Order: sequence, then C-alpha cells, then structure tokens
Amino acid sequence: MLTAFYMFRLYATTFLGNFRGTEKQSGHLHESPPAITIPLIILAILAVIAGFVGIPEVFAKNSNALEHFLHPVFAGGSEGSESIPASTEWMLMGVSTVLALAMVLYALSRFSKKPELAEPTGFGKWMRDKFYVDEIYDALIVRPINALADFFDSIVEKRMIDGLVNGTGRLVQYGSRQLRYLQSGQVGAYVLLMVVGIVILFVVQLFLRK
Amino acid sequence: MVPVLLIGIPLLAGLIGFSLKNAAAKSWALFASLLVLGVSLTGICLPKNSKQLLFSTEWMGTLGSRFAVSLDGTGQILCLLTALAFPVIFISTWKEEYKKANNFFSLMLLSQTGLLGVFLAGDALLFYFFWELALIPVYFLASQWGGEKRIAATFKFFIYTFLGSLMMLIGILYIYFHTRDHSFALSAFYQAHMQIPAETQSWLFWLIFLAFAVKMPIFPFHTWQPDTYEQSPSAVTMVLSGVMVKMGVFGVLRWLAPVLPMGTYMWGDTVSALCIIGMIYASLIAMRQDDLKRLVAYSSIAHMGLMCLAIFATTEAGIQGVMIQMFNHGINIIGLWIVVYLIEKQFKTRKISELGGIAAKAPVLTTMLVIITLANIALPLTNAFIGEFLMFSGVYSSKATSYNVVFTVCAAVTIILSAVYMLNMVQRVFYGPVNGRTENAVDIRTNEKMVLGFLVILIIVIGVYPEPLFRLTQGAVDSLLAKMYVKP
Amino acid sequence: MNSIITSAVLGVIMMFSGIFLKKNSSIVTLAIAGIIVLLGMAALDMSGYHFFPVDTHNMLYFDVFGLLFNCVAFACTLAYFLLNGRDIAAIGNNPGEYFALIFFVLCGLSIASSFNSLLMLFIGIEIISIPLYILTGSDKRNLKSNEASLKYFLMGAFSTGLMLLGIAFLYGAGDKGSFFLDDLGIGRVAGTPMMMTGLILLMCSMAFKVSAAPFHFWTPDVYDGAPTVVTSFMATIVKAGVFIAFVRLFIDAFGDMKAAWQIFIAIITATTLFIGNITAVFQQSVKRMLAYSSIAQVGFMLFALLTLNTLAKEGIILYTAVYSLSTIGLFAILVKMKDFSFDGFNGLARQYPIVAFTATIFLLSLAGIPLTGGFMAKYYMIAAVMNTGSFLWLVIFALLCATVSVYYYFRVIQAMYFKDGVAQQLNLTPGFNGMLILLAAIVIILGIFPEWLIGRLYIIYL
Repeated sequence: MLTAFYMFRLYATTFLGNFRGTEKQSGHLHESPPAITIPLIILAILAVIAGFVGIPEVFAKNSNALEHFLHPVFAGGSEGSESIPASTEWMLMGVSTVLALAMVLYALSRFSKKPELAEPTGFGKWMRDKFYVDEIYDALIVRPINALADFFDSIVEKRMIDGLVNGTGRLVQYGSRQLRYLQSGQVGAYVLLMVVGIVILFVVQLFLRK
Repeated sequence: MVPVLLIGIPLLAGLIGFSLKNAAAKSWALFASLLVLGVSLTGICLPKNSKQLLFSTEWMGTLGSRFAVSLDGTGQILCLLTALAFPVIFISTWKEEYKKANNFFSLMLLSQTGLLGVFLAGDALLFYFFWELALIPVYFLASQWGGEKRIAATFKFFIYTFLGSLMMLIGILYIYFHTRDHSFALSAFYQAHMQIPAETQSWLFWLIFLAFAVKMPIFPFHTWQPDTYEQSPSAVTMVLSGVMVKMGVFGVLRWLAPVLPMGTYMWGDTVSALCIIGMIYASLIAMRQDDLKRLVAYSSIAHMGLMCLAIFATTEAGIQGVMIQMFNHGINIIGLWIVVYLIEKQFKTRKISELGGIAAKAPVLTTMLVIITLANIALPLTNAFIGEFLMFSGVYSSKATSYNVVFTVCAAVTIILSAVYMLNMVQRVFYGPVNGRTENAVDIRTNEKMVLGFLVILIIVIGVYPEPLFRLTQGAVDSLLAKMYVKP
Repeated sequence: MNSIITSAVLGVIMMFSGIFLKKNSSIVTLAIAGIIVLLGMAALDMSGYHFFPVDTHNMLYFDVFGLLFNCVAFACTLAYFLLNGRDIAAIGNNPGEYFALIFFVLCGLSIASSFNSLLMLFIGIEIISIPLYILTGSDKRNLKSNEASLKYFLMGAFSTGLMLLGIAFLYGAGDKGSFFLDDLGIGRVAGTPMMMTGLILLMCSMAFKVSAAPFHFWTPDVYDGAPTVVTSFMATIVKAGVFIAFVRLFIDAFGDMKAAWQIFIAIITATTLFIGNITAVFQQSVKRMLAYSSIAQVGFMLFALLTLNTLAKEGIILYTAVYSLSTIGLFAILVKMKDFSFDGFNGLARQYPIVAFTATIFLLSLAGIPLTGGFMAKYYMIAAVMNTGSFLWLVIFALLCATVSVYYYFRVIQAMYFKDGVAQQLNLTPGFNGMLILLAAIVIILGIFPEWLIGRLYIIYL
C-alpha cells in the first residue's frame, strides 16, 4: 500500500500536471535518447512477464515455475507445507489488488492537479528528516565518544599516566637537590653523621637482635 | 649456519659501514640488507630439522651460558619480517639526505643485528644481551637524527625500556638458579617451572612481563611510545614500530608463557583486561589526533593490545593468529609509515587539519594508502583480516578465562573505532577540498611506487592465501600450546 | 712478596730520580719502566717464581686471589701512567716524589691484598692512606687541594682510630688472643658481644676507606679538591685495593658467621646505593659526578661482601678491573679539559670523535649496558645475591638505582653527541687516542669474554 502511494505520488508530481520549472529548463525537456528508452521498454515488458512466472495455483495448475525451480532450496522445509485452499488465494489476491488500486487512484487524484510544494509539517517533517535517527545517533554515540576520547587524551594521557612517569623523574631530581645539602663541607658534620651511623649499627646489634 | 649468517652479516656490514663515505653507505646498507633477506628466505626453504638452522658454541662455561642460536617457527617468521623490513625501509627513504649518513646506516644495520639476535637466541643470557643491543643503536639513531624534542623523548624511551629489562634480568636469574643444571639454555628454562611454586611464579611473571609490557607497549606502560615515534626520523620509526615492538610479543611467546605457565594462567585475566582497556583507550585517542604520526602510533598500541590479548587466551587459533599478525602488522604499519613519511616530505606538515585533497594530484599514492588503510582496519581480502579473525576466534573460544565473550566484544568495538579514525584520516587528508599546501601535489616516484606496490601485493596475497605462513608456524604453535598447558 | 719489596724499592728509586733526572719526561719514562717491572714481578709471583723468600710467620698469605688482584691493579696503574704520566709530573715542582708516593701506595696495596693478620691489615691500610694524604694536597697553590688534604687526613685519622679499637676488641674476643684471621671467627656461627663490637667498628672503618655510606662524606670533597690525576688514581686503584682487603677480611675471618653481620652490610649497601645515585643526578660538574658515581659503584661492589660465595669472588675481580679501566679512561679525558661541567662536553664528538667514542664505551660500561664489561661485572654481583636466595629486595632496589645512574652517565653522552657546541681544545699527545682505544677494547672484550680474566683465578701453576 505504502509503495503504491509513494510510487504514484512520484509519478504524478513529476510527469503529470503543469510544468513547474523555469523557461530555460523547459527548453531542455526532451525525450530520452534511445540508449535509455529501449532498455526501459525491455525492462517494462520483462516486469510484466515476471508477474506471470509465479502465477498462483488458482489460475492454472502447476504453472508456478518459480516454485518448482526453487524447490530443492527449500527441500527441508517444504515437507510439512499444505497447499492453501483456493478461496483463500482468491481473497488474498483480491484484497491486495483492490487496496493497491485504491492508493494509486488516491495518489493520482491528490497530486496530479495541485502538487504539494510547501514544507511538510509535523508528522510529515518527521518522516522527511529520516525520523531524526541520524541526529539521535550523533548525540547519543558520536558526540560522547568524541568527548571521551578528548578526555582520555588531555586528562588521562597527559596528566595522569605521563604525569606519573615524568613525575618520577622530577621526584628523583628533587630528591637529588635536597640530598646534596647533606654534603655541607664541614668536617664536623661529616664526622657527626658517621658517628650517628655507627651508633645506629650498634643499636641494631645490641638491642634489636635477639 | 643460517642463524650465524643472519646475525653476522648485518653486524659486519654495520661495522664496515662506519668507515665508508656517505654516498656509498646507502648502497652498502641496501646491499647488506638484501643479502640478509636472501639468507632468511633460504632458511625458510630448508627443512624443519635441518642442522643448518642451529648453532651452538661455548661462550661462558662457568656461567652456564652458551652462544646458542636457532631458527624455529616463531623465529622464522619474525626474521623474515625483519629481513624484509630493512630493504623496504631503505628503498622507501632512499632520497632522504642524512648528515653523517655512514653513521646512520651503520647504526641501522647494527640495530638489525640486535633485532635478529633477539629472535634467534636460544640462551637466556644471550637473549638478554641482544635485547639490550637492539636498544642502543636505536637510541643513538633517534637522538641524533630526530625532531626537536628528541633528546628528552628518546631518553625517556631508553630509561623506561632499560628499567623493564633490568627487572627481566632478575627474573631470568631467578629461573636460572632453579634449573636443574644451572644453565641458561632454552630447553632448561622450559623445564624449570616444575621447580618453581605457583606463588613465586606469580611475582616472577610480573618481573619478566614488565620488560615485554613496556616494549609492546601495553597500557599503562605506553606513554613513551607516541613521543618517541613522533620525534624519531621516519626510518627509525619504521624500525621501531614495524619490528621492535614485535620483540615484546615474541618475548612473551618464547620466554614467558611456556616458561611460567602457572603465572601466565594466573595473571591472564588481569593482563587481558589491561590489553582491552589499552585497545579502546588508544583507539579513542587516535580518533582525536591531528598529527599523522601520533595517530599511527596510537593505532599501533591498539593492534599490539589485541595480539597480547590473543596470547593469553591460550588457544590454537589465537596463537596462530598472533604469529601471522606479527608479520602482517609489521608490513601494514611500515606501509602506513611510508605514506606518512611521503606526505611529510612533500607538504612539510603532519597535521591533518592542514592537508586535504591530495587524491586529485596523487592518485597512485592514494590508492596504495587506501589499500593499506583497509588492511589496518582488517578488511577481508587483506592480510590483517586473517590474523584478526583467527585471534578473535581464539579469544572467543578460550578456556583459560571466563570473560572471553566480554573480551571479544570489546575487541570488536576497537575494530569499529579503528575504521573510524583511519577512514576519517583518509577522507580528510586525501579527499575533501584542496588547500594552499596541497595544490601542487606531485605523485610518488618510482622507488616509492615499487616499495608500496610490493607491500600492497603482499597484503592482498597473504590475505587470500595465507597457507604458507601457517605451515611455517604450525609446529611452533603446537609446541607452545603444549608447554602453556595448565591443569585448571 | 715480590710486589711488596719491588714496589717499595721502586718508590725509593723514584724519590731519588728527582735529584738526578732533570726533565719531567725522563721521570715519567722511568716510572713507566718501573711499573712494567712491577707488573712483571707480580705475574711471576702468580706463576710461582718467588724472588724474595721472606718468612712472614704466617702474617702474610699469598693466594691466587690476592696475587691476581695485584696483577690487575698494576696493569691498571700502567694504563694510568701511560695516559696521565705527563700530567702527574705536571702537578707541581716535585715530579719524582709524586711517582714515589704512588709506588708506596702500590706497596700498601700489595700488603692489603695478602694479609693474614689484623696487624698486617692495619699496616697495609695505613701505607695506602698516608701517601694519599700527601698526594691529595700536592697542588700546593690550590686552596681546594689543601682543604681536601686536611679533610682527608682528619677523617682518615678518625677512621684509623676506629680500626685500632676494633682490632683491639677482636684481639680480646678471640679464644687465645691473637691477631690472625684464622683464629677470629672460623667455626663460629654467632659472635660474642665483644666480637660483634670489634667487627662493627672494623667494618665501619673499612667502609670509610672504601667510601660506603654513611661514611662516604669525605669522598666528594676530597675527590673534587685533589688534582684530577690524583683523583683518578684514588677513585679506581686505591678503592679497588681497599675493597679487596675488605672482602679478604670478611671471607677469612668472619666467613662462617655470615648471618650475624649480613644485615649490616645490607643496610650499608642500600644507603650507599641510594645516596650515591640520587645525589649524582643533580651534579653540574662531571668530576663531582664521577666522585658520586664511584660511591654508587661501591654500592654494587658491596654485594660481593654481602654474599661471599664463588660468584662474588670472581665478580669482584672483574668488577674492580672493569671499573678501574673505565674510570681511568674517563678521568684521563677530564684531565685534559679545563671546563668540568656537562656543557663543557658539548659537541665533543665532532671535534674529537675517537675521544667521544671511547668515552661513550666507558660510560656505557659504568652504566651496565650489555656488551661492556660493566654489565658482566654487575651481572656477577646480582647473580651472587640471587644464588643465596635472600635479599631479593636489595637486588630490585639496586637495579632501580642502576636505572637512575643511566640518567647521569647518559647526560655526558648526550652532551657529546646530541648537543651542538664548540668543543674545548684538548692538548692530546699522539699516543693518547691509541691508549684510549686499547682501554675501550679491553672493556668490551671483558664484556664478551669475562672468563679470560676470571679463568686465571683457577689456573694452578706448579
């Protein structure tokens, strides 16, 4: 149904009714060259013929060539299939054809005389803008991922991990800067530190080891 | 004989290269590296048990260390990569003018010696020797011929790696003292874990893994990498990224997982979690990079994370995938770096925001780049797809961890992210509007076309017919899995 | 015994050479000839040819360990003379005396490496120290040199007092009151309080001589103030010799009661490593940096004292050899420079490529990069500790400090190669480059084939 609607809307707005273009454009209107039209004609004929290839059982027995052609493919599945009673087939065919024809007539009548050129509003707009799926996708997935990537790059990478590595280097430098003050140049301080070392060793030996 | 030749040729060539004149040094280096390639290919053609693939001689008897080098499956594929990478690098940067080129090329050859030695060593102390020896020439190369902030960046790289190596030395020594006959040989190390209880294996694992984790690099030990890659000269970055990082993966495959299977099993989940975090983290950061070199650097972290994840999954598909992917990633990433180098040479900038519309004037370059990019994303038909598919199926079917589904899903997210940043980069740099800088773009020259074309052919051929590589590594994969087996 | 008497005689000869020889170069040549003779005598001593049979009543015991060390020390001194001979003579007005004092120091070294009695230890250490007090102050016009000499003397006297008190306690603590090492601690597992007191005092005074923390405070000032050539000698050969005495003392006397005193050595080692490495980071003068670096290297050498096993003994010989050669080489380059700061090395690689290259080898060796002897030496030390199975925390700490040391060693390399600058003029003699290359080659050979040196410990000459 929907297919019938939009296909014939397309046909009606493009081919029927009055020409809506400029003067210059109308000068360009011409029949397509044979290179285009002949294949189109052939395809159209084939389209009609194809419709008869899969003709249902009701019209002619055993004439559904496609079904037999494809039989081996469904060999496993077709064992349990029953054939549909003829009345159902008639009903299916009838209903679908009627509905399609109805939509065709509706579309033709609506669009051939006064084509709608205004911006669609509301529901129509939603349909035209692809239900905003792309925009939702962009907001839900693309933008957050980009933000996450930026976060990783600037905060985690530069400040945390690399910061840790560079920080270790800076810590060593800082330690060195402070440690060198131990070397004061005063012999008295040196000897004091030596004595402190000896005392510590004696404390460890005499008091902490038993 | 083959391993000795593989190490000896670049060593001698490098030492001789110091005394050559600048112009001759380039050709000499290319010649030597092609010779190495020939030897490596010969080694692959030899049967698996050939005597030519082993060499062992007395070195430090009282210490229990022999000069033992051998080529097995894992080593073969990585030696092939190294042997292939250097001529490719030399040819692609042929037109680059270096000050004191003889020193440059000699140091490159010496670094090749160290790299090959790592992949060939069959003795733990020898392995350690070569591990450090691969580092020194690269340090000098990057420090002397690098960018403006090179001294600090390469120094950080050196100290970081050195610290990891020293911890690894402690681990190696500990295992050495627990081998039955106090020997550093690989076979002795494989037996040693039976004397080491699980609790000890636990911290021993981390001591040794630290060195490899810094090398690969794994989050959070990766911060040296983007700066070093950015500041190094392009040829050195190609060596670093294409071959050196594989040292880390190789180390885990040969010297960690089979030697400490209990430890590997115990820490498998933790390491895998770190890998996953690193992969997603690096991919996200890559998305926001403006500098081409940093983008490729972060992309590399993501890929290595996947390889490390697959190792710890302990499945055949996973490990086979890692072996193949080491080779593939090497090719792909070198291809990418070549393109970055060419862009930088021509347009004097690496910033994506300053480039655009190169495809109009340089179609060949664009075509090559697009194929290499698709390989980086692991599109089917490219070599990386084989590797990544195997690794994914390995992780998914892993019995070693209970989080295999989570890991697989997160890893798959990384692929999507990699597609995002790579295609984004391609689109903004090569398509889109031309600006002042790129108006006069010139397409690439013959030597560059040759090299890139060769890499592209490799990418597609391996992507369609990876069987030869599988045959090369199958034996190693099986023996590795047998050693990694731990009764749950 | 050869070396002791030969070096003493040579010392006297050098003293008088100052009267008879007028030109400095002849004095230098005589000194070099003398050291070659001395080296020959030591080598012969190792091979079993003893020229001076003197009955020392077991106070001196010449084993392969001590004799091999003598050879190493004299070989290093030969290299030292070849590199720095002219500069030694140029310190002041008395060239002959300077060489004489050096030979007397070597005599003390020979005694200290072969002692079997505490008295001999004392004599050896004093014979080493007193000429050094004089040598430190030999640049009489320089105030810093005088100050350094006085500081060294004062603090040295203090430590000698400690040593004598320790010896006295040990004499009293032994079963039968003797000075011989054998009678002290052999067979004991734990020490009596008096013995432990003596041991600690002796340990502290030896630690002073070796410049281990917290007894190291004299080192930066003395090394900085002394003339650079004297510093070169002090920091390498003397330190190595005293260290060998230290090791010998503990192996022979207290080897069996390790559990009693290992903890002290561990504390001293950790402190030394920490202070040595961290303080070196911020130094602005390469000479002072090398002084602190020598303290840090002692920290590593102390591992040999901690463990006292076979690996340790082999390792300490290797360590002293490699460390001495590397530092002598570096100081030889420093002697030729006027500006000791790091920036003074800028651009050296362009002007003097050989000097820069060999300096890099020496620095890599000190930092412990594989392929150089320094790595094998550090390896032996670490392996010795890991062999005992304990003190793992100390090993990890030591390697962390080694990483820190990479920083200040590499600063020099960075200045030489990667920073641009106009290098200062060095007045190099023609043989200088050749000698440096020889030293660098030996350092690398020892890095690949350390057995070449260590194997000699085990060659038994008939």
